[in-house]
Amino acid sequence: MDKVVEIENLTKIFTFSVKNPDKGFLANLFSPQTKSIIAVDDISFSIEEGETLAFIGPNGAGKSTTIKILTGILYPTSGHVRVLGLNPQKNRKQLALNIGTVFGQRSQLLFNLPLTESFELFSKVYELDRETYKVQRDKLIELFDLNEFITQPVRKLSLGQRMRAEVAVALLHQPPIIFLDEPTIGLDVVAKRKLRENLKAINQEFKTTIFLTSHDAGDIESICDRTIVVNHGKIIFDGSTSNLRREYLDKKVIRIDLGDDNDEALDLKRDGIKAQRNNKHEAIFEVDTKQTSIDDVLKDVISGKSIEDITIEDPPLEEIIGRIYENK
Amino acid sequence: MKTNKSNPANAIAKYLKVYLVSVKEVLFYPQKMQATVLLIPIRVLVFLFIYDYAFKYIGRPINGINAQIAVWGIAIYQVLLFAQFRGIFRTISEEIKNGSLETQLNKPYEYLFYKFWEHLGKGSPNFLVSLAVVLPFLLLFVGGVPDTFRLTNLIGFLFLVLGGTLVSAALYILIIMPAFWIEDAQPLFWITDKLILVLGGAFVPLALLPQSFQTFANLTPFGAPMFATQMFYPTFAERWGLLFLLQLFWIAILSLAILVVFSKAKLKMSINGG
Repeated sequence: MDKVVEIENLTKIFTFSVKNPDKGFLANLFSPQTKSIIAVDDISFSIEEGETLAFIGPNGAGKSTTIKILTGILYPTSGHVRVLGLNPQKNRKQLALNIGTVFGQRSQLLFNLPLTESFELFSKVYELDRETYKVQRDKLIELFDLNEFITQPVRKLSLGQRMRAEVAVALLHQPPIIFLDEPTIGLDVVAKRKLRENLKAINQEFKTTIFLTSHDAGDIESICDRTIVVNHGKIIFDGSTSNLRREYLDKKVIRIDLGDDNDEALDLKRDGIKAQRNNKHEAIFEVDTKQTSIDDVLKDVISGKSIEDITIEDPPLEEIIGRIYENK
Repeated sequence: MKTNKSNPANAIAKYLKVYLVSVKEVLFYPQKMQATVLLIPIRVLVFLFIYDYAFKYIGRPINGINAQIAVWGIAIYQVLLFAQFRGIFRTISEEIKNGSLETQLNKPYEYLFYKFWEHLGKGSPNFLVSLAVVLPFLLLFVGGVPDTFRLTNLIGFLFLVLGGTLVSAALYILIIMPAFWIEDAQPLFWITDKLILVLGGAFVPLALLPQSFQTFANLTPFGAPMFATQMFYPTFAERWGLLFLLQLFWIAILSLAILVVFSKAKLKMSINGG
């Protein structure tokens, strides 16, 4: 399988001048103090064709900077980057012709004109022949369910409709890879779900590689098979999304339905057990599996009490990610 | 991995589409255009009163300029403003500040060319409509076409409009470049804009200004965008060829400067919000 993205020892340092309040205007102008921030710190990874990758991290971790280097917008300070076999900085225009990009907070559509005009414009921008354009446009209209608002000016679309349109337009030239920077930001639950389904569908139907950054654990879980976690510009996790859960999972939530026959609440006295609720009908415990095994907890629960139902759950991915950010 | 390559032959279709889409965008909301265009006759009327009074008071033309020529020149300035690129400064400046530049830098076109054609498209309908509004107004209220007008002047006028548009585009694009480093190049815009205003003949025809001003206007890029306003000057027929060459000179110099500075700006770029 071909590698669509290859990054080796990528580093990006931003240097900017800082005003010194103790110096005068001219001194600040001609000999300004400078400050450097390491946005991306010696990272290496590669992405295979058709992969769905979540590239996540807290604010300022270096996610967007990495995307911008990969798409040729920013120049790396050092390191080696290839996207679709091209150097994004040296072959920016050729790369742009072969990738799709969606930046959640920035629109690429023609705001005042009907959505059809954006499709028309992008067909020329991506140098598509008329036939290919029409076939792909019709496919995307159907897949992203754009028909009901395609003739409306973009400014009149809801955020959810607009984001679907943004992604659809970015796929007009059938790019082998699409970069999505927080595509579901600000969307309601239904719009998020719809967009996630669409993204999953394009990955399956067109084999499009997805490179996604998001703060939304739901996006990561429902779209991406692989996750890279970055913090302070460094990779702190790179593996399958299910492994991310397993690797950082040191807590389980046990819900016990005690029914109506018990006279009193459960009495669990073990280290690492925190009761979220505990009465004679129902108990919810958070168990720190590093201190107490689930086996032991279950033995305690079963002995001496009649139970109607029991479920063991992982904490939500959002919580796990939050913990990774806090710890590293 | 196999990738598509850009075909240079598609560039014309690409930028032409950008132009047409921008025209469409203006025509989609004609109210804004109407308001802007209808202000021109009012401004011209004010200048008509002022110059009519001033030349009656002086009692003779100055450097071959009378009230009629002065007002025609000022009216042309107002119309030509729509073919100028003042707006491109604000657009690019905003895009640098709010970071939306990034959505365009990763598209398969040259960002500055895109902006050029976009603004040309936005200006064209306003330019044509204002010309259609102002011409009958001038013919009716300013006493017809000045005697100095010759058909050959019209050819010179068209060349100078084209040249002036390109000089203005290059000038406003060049002064936005520092914004990549300092984020706000507004002071440069102010200086450039006011110089064009004065040396282009927005309020006072160039021929009425002191000789030193006229020389400065003709030999710097600040007067070049509005050379076409001189089309009714008695000496225009002999001079427009030279003025056009000066415009070509500035287009070449400024474009070269943009090329050098923009390539450095891209290396230094840091996009807000990531």
